[in-house]
Amino acid sequence: MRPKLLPLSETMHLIMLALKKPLHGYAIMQHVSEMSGGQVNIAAGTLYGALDNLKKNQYIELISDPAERKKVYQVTTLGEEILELENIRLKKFISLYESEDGSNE
Amino acid sequence: MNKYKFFIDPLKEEQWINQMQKKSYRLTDISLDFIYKFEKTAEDYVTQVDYQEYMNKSRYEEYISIHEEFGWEHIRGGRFGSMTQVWSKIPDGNDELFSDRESKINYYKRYMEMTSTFAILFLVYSMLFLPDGPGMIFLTPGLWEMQGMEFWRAFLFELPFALMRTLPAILFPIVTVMFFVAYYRMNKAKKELELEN
Repeated sequence: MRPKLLPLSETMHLIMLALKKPLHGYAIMQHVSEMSGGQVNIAAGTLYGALDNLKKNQYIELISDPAERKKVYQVTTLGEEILELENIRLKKFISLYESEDGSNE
Repeated sequence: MNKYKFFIDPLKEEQWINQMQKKSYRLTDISLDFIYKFEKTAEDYVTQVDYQEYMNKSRYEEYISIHEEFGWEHIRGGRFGSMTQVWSKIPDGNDELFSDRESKINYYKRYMEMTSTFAILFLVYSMLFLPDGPGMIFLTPGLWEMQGMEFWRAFLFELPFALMRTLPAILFPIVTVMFFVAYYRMNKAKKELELEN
């Protein structure tokens, strides 16, 4: 059976990629916006929901001190494995696309 | 300036607050669910209403912190799921709480869970307060056998009490229906969103 949340939604995918490095809420949004060339601008509620969901599945963790006002998150080892699975899946897709292109030649 | 309003439907609440804020007021506080405090302002403000179920302390802190990082000010709310979360900010281009369809649909689902819970609760109240007949409303013994002045004096004396006894029986079904209407509206908004692609 596939691990939960897979295949990752665009929002979750970008958030997890951004969280390879530790980041707080607003910085996650900025990174995601940059990575998507300004296409994906995550709103606060969507970000909270996605982080909560990813955290529940232990793909990311809260690493800042509870007393700290700004909450900092980072991908866990499990999260890295999930990203690796997604990487393999997407590479397969790309090869499907490219072989189809190639067959016309 | 205080405005007294009571909303069953959080979508209507949000709409009304934003209409008030177009008239150069800003919402500063909501007390007891019906006292909306506004103050004059030269700035534009946008308000969005969210609903969250019970959150433990650390989840609630994350919820607040993330929204504040985006410039939202928490006007009203709590972590026990007993009321809506009201957020305001000065518009900066990222002025919605939800940016993808999935999270917006989840938000309607949370609302619908809340309204259906309240609808059922009030339906039960309605049935509890249902009077069995006029004998349950006017309790003066032998009232309906009295004649003339004696009847009117006893009747008018008890009328306010009788009304108070009937009030829940009238009010609860009305509120129940309003919750069901709000539920229906949200379900419609959710369906429209699901079809849109």
